[in-house]
Amino acid sequence: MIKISQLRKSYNGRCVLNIEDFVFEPGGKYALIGANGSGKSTLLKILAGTLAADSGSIDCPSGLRERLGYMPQKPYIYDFSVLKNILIAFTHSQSDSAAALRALRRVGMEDFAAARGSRLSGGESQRVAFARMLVEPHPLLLLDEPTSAMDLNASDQVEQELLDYCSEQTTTLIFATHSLAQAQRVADTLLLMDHGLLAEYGSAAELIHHPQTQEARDFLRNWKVD
Amino acid sequence: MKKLLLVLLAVMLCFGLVACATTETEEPGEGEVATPENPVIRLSTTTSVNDSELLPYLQKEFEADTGYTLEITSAGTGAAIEKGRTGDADLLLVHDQASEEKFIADGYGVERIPFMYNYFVIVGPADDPAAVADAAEASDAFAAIAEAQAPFISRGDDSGTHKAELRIWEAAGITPDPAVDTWYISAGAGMGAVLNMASEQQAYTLTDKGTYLSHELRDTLSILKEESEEMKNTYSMIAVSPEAYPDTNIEGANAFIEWMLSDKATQLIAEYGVEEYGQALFFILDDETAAE
Amino acid sequence: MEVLQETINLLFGSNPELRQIIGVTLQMSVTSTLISVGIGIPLGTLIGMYQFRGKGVLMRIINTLMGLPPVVAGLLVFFLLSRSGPLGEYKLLYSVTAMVIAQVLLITPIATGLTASMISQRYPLLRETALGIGLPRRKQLLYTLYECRSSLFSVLFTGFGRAISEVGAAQIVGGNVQYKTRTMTTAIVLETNKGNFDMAIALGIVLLVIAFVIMCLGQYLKDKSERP
Repeated sequence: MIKISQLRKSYNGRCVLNIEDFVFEPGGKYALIGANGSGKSTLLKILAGTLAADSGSIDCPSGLRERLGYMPQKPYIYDFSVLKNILIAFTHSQSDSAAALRALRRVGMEDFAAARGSRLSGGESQRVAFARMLVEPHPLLLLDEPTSAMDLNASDQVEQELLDYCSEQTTTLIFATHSLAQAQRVADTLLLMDHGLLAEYGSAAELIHHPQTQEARDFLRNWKVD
Repeated sequence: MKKLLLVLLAVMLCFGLVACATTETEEPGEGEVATPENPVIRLSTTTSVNDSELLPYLQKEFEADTGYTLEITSAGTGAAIEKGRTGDADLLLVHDQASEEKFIADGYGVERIPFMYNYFVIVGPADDPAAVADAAEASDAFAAIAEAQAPFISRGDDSGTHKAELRIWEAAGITPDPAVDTWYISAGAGMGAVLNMASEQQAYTLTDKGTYLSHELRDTLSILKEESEEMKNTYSMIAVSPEAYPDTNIEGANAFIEWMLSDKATQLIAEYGVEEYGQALFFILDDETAAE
Repeated sequence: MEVLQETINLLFGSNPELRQIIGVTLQMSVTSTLISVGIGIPLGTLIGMYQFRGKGVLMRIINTLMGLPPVVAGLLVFFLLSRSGPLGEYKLLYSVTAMVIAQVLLITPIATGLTASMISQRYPLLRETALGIGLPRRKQLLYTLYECRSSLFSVLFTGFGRAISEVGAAQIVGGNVQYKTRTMTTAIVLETNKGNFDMAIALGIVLLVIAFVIMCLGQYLKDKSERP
């Protein structure tokens, strides 16, 4: 279990994250939803350890931080072959070309194995970056809008692979998304962020159909207009 | 040809490959003297008269007396004369008889007017390893330097001083080759820079006395050989011929020549340096010598 | 057409002095560029990658030094190596070594500054991904440099361009000594001072040709590095 408390972060005096406390249960699947700038990415970065919080604490099992997988909003694909881009992700085990190719097949990118990393489109880059997450078991997976640039087919395929991966590896999943439908399909708990605060959380059914807070009602009303 | 040269020069300036010399314009002094019609005189001179501060010292008086403005550029005699050939000067003040005579023969100059002189001196380390001080003539001194293979720094820039140095080597019957003789250092630099190098390397060099005496590092080098006929250094003025370049300021050039030959100017030149160095740096040619 | 004739003679004739001058020029430019880049790229990478107190001040100092006038660098090295200076006993003044020292003083800040600003710009994105996959620090650094290789080539050639075209410092600490420290640029100044403009321009064209050939070679290597 991962327990965060009193987590705060501000940039130039503007508070971007302020969470009193929350517990992520092992094996749980959590979707972070909320408007742009509500603090979803900041929370993921702090959990991933690429950004330091100003104050507060994150308690998690020892060894978890070294083995977590994190896919940033703009994943970087290195300027060598796509296959090698996958192979470098074997950081805890011997790199394995067959396994890397399997991961590429799972995201529909096996034909690109020999392609140059710098030539990929945004959606292709996300699929390769996601394949990198699949090659090793991670007790915690942090994904920042993992399918935002993908077409619907790719997005569906990746979602399915993600669910399979999580159940195979008993991974705790925390991901940010702007698709309420995706959050509903993948996550069992939704966290609604608003101006850095955790406004409300609960199961998809609870949060979407019976929002308790004004923030959640405002957010969902705008969403349904789309 | 000239146009092509200019265009190429401009291109190279754009690439920042050519250091450009700046000329300074000084405001004419306030006073009673009316400004002449064509007030700017472009004087091209050698580093020795400029670096020894003689010209800046005379310039003030001349400008106050006549209302002209003097724009002085200084370079080695070779380049100074070349500015006359390209029409970039109205007047030359230089010190190499052979190139001066060629300049006039080629139709660029009006007349060569020798008017003052000073002496070249051989300077070098105080302990004088080549025993230059014991030599009878300058050429003997050079022979002694070559014999001892003591470091000698040559201007190597086609200046009047460089040419005078080459004449002394010729008189000594020696032709130093900088490619082989490591003691003979061809610096390709002005007098001041060469004195810096001689001081740093404790080497011998030939310099005009004026520049040596006004150089900051003079205490690190001693005068070992001076004042002989061989070492005489005569300065002349030449107005650029209006026939070669019709827009040249011949009135201004003549006004400067006339002023320089006046009693006041000759007095000023004779006095220059006496107070500061205890001796005159330049001497006026008497009519007899001038007529030679 | 004298200039053209002179240039052709210089480029294709056998002029041992010119070959020697080109040799000194290349020796000085290449050595000083390699040393400067050898210091500047690692230093700039470190500065670009890490956040630390005083980084802003340090970058401002480096940016100021990037504009260091060559004659000032020349003077500093002159006083350092002068007979009466702290390193006078080594008698390095008026040598190629002295010119290299002055050039290193000029080019190292340029290499450091350019590298640091380039890495600061690109590293955050690279870092997020690298940490996300758990890349070890050594590989992180290696891949970062690999991704920036094209810009690093540019740093190299900016440094080289500066070294080969520089004249003020080379003149002061090298002394333009014939057959020893005369470079293309100081030779051009000398020929100009001699009033030998044709020769000066011809030398200038030769210098441009050499620079062009080297830059072409550089571009070729750069392009090649981008096609692994």
